[in-house]
Amino acid sequence: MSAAPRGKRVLLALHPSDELEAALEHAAALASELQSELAALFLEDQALFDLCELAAQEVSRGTGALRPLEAAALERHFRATAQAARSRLEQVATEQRISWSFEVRRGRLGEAVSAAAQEATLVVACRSAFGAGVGRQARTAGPVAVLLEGGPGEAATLDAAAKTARRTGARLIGLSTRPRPAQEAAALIEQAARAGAALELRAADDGDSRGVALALAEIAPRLLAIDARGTAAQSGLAPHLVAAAGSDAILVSSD
Amino acid sequence: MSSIKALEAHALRRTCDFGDLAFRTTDELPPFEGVLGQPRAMEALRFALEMRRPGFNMFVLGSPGTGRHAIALRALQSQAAQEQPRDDWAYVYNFTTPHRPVALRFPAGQAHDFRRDMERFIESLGAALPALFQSEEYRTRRRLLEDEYRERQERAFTELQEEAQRRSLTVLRTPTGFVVAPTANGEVMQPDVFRRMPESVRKQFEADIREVQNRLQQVVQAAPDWESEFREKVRALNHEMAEATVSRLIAPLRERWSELEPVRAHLDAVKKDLIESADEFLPREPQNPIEAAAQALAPPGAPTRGLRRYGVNVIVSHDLGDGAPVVTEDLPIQPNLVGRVEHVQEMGALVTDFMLIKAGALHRANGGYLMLDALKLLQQPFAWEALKRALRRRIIAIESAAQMMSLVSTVSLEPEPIPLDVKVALVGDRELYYLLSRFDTEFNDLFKVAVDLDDEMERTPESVADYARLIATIARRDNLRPLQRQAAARVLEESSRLAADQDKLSVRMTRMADLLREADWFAAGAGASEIEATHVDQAVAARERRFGRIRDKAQEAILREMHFIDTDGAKVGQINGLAVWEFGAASFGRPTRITARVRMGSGEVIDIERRVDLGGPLHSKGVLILSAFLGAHYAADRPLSLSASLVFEQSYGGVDGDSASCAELYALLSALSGLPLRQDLAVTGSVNQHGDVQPIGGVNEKIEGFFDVCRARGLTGRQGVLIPAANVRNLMLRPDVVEAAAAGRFHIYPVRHVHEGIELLTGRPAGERQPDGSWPEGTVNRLASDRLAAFAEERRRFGSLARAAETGESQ
Repeated sequence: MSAAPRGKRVLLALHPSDELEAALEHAAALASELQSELAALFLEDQALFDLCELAAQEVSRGTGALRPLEAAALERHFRATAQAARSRLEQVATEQRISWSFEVRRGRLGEAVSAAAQEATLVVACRSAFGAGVGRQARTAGPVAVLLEGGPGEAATLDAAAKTARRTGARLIGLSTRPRPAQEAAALIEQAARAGAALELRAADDGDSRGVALALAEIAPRLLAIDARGTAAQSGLAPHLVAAAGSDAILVSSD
Repeated sequence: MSSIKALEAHALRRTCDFGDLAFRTTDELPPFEGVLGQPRAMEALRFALEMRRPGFNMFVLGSPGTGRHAIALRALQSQAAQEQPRDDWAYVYNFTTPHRPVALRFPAGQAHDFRRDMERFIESLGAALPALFQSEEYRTRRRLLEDEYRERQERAFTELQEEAQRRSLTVLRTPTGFVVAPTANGEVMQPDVFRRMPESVRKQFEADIREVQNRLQQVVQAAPDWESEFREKVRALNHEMAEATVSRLIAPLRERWSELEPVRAHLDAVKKDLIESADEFLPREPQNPIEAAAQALAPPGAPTRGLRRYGVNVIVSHDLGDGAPVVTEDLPIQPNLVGRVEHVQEMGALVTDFMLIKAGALHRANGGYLMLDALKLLQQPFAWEALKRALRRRIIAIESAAQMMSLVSTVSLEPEPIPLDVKVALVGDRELYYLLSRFDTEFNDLFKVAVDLDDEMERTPESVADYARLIATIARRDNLRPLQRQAAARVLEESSRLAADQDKLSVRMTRMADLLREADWFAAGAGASEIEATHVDQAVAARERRFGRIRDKAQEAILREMHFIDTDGAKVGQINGLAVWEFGAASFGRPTRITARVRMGSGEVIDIERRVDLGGPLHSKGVLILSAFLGAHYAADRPLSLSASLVFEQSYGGVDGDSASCAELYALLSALSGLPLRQDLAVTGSVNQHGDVQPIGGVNEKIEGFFDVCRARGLTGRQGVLIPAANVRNLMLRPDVVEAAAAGRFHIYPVRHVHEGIELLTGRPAGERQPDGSWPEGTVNRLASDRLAAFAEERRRFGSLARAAETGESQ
């Protein structure tokens, strides 16, 4: 099956972070595979500008020194980072021969990503775009994880994850929020195989958000695929799961 | 009349008959081994070759064409063949001081073995180490370290985040750091909400924020230490994993090369470095565009730059059966002598390493012999100094001229100098040897042995026989036709002519070998199977013709009476002198008119050539000597009241040498005595203050020069040349001159004293001084003496008148 019909968009949600490059490559590869346009959305965290009004202090990532958080400096840094991301996107898109666009938008991160997911077939987001993963190293190794919630978008999400696993040579681990009957499990494995990946199917010990988060932390994936129409995304849990997984994420729309 | 007898024809050229040496052609003669006519030089060569002390290098000096290079090279090769080859040398990487590559010495033939061993070793490592680092054990242990490091970071941030959450705070990421923010309902608090809060709550928030910020700072500041710790653990893991593999693979090498301590030490350094940098064997992505481009441009299969340092650059190697090396360097520029460090262009920059060190001639000759042409060596900038420095210090240090002159500041290599033990043979001209000996203070210490090659050898029955065998050897070596006995005799006679001595043979074998080749060419043209005497004569004549353009032009000028030379009659104060002109390889004699005029004067003989700077010092010396002769001979007891002038008529170039002083004296005596001199005779010879005629050079060419003019005008049977009697042994005249003399149509007169010569030239006796000091009436001396006496009287009279005039004026 095809996860994304022709003409759909792959949306890349970006926020200044170490994972920006990896997310960009994931998105470009998926867009190329799906023959979709790659639309990059560079997010400026509104919360940071709000904090400027409260005379907040910033701790330097390099030295640990304290300095005032200033809106002008923030804007300057966002602009420079966005420019660099745009150039990199242009380069990657040219190499992959895909059409692309680049937009800068300011907003609350989790909300912005969720809103963006409504506009695209598939959203690739670096985890910092969810406002998660502060202080962690970008993970470049590990399996590709896919959250299997049994919803209507599950097949498309698994397909996108399987293709990413095949492309990166990573293992593919499916984390089901509930135990699956053997026949259902076999169908999922067969679907992944058709996309070129061997699916390892696991079930979370506890299907609630905490259990899923613990299971994702244990898997420590390099990328987490979530159904954009699924329960986790719709209930606003996606940022927490991404934080627990410590990885970038793709939100896959089944439209 | 003169009592001098013309020389018999047989005295004019010493022919060769080979005596008892029986052969029809040179094919019947055994080959000649060795060096002909150089016993002194060969003794010096043997001495230099066997004397293995510093400084006993040799300078082989001799004239071009004496076979200097061939003789020296043959001697060096002969000696070297009896010796064992010396050491092999290789340069390897210096792991402690990379810019000073280490020189490793190996027994002959083993350097390449070591290089191959190292190549195989690195190849084995190339397979074993990547496998090691891809093993499950390594990957698991490395992942554990990575997890530990990541978890440490995450734990710190998680705890921090949890602490923040307990205080209703959160940590956000900014483009350049982190910020702690108050939250409400899990979201970052809006500024207006925060401001509306009671002051006490706000202050509590602010205190909490400061506290979390402090902890955040501690975490951030600790992060680099954690990373260092992580990297150190990874390094230790790599070290541990690599050590076992490297030790296992290098053990056989250490065992094999255990007897060579420096090699073993190098292997230990290699092992240590490999263990510390084992990850260079892992395939890795380029870290920057430059590395990426370098990888893309590298030839397939080329070792990475890092692995090159385990290579072995063999700069000198020998085979056991080779004997000691004998090296000649035809282009002795400084880098070709002491070696050089080459560079390669890499990404727009010139880079180098120890694998680009190239050996020089000194490296290749080390432990053996090096032969160089002295002139070529001295013509190359820095080469002579480099050679001397190497011999003086007894090491080969690779230094570029640019480094020596401090012209470049580019970082380059300073390869470890190599001990030098070489015997150097310089080959060059005598002049060069004497110049170096005089002006280079180090030369005599560094080149203690002069191998002085003679230009000629005694002509004895034994040497003639050897010479014939040498001719036979050259003919066989060059695939020439065999020479008939008479042809070989002609060659020997030509050799004596080249030596300009009836009792000598020239050992300038290059010229003689050329003569054989040229005669062979004529033999081939005649369809002869053997070289005959006529072919040799044709070759000699053809050579003279080839080089004879200027000679013919000079003779043409005489015959057309553009250049005045009389060959009959008699004239006062005029004589035919003889000069030798040399143009490159050609030399020929040519008559030149010398005239003298006398008048009363104060004893001065004016050398007109000297006055106009056309006369050289030797010519001036000759004129002064004849002046002294005149004064002592005729005016011992009174002032020499003569003013005379001498000139080489129609001479517009320089004149030097004293070989015309005899002729000049005859011209002066003629001018004084008023007696005409025979113009059908020409004169050569120098004179001393007693009137003795002394030998000169180029006697054959001079005689032949006058003979050619006379023959062209028609030989009268009275014409001839007066030569110093001491030069008779130098006569090796052309056969046509000898034939004319034998027929009484041309004469060579040996003269011992000017009295003999003046009698022949004037037809008057010179006159012997009588007991009263006077000369007999009618003799040349009497006439000359009377003329001088008359000049003296006139001078005295003029002196009296002058004094009287002065006295009158004063009164």
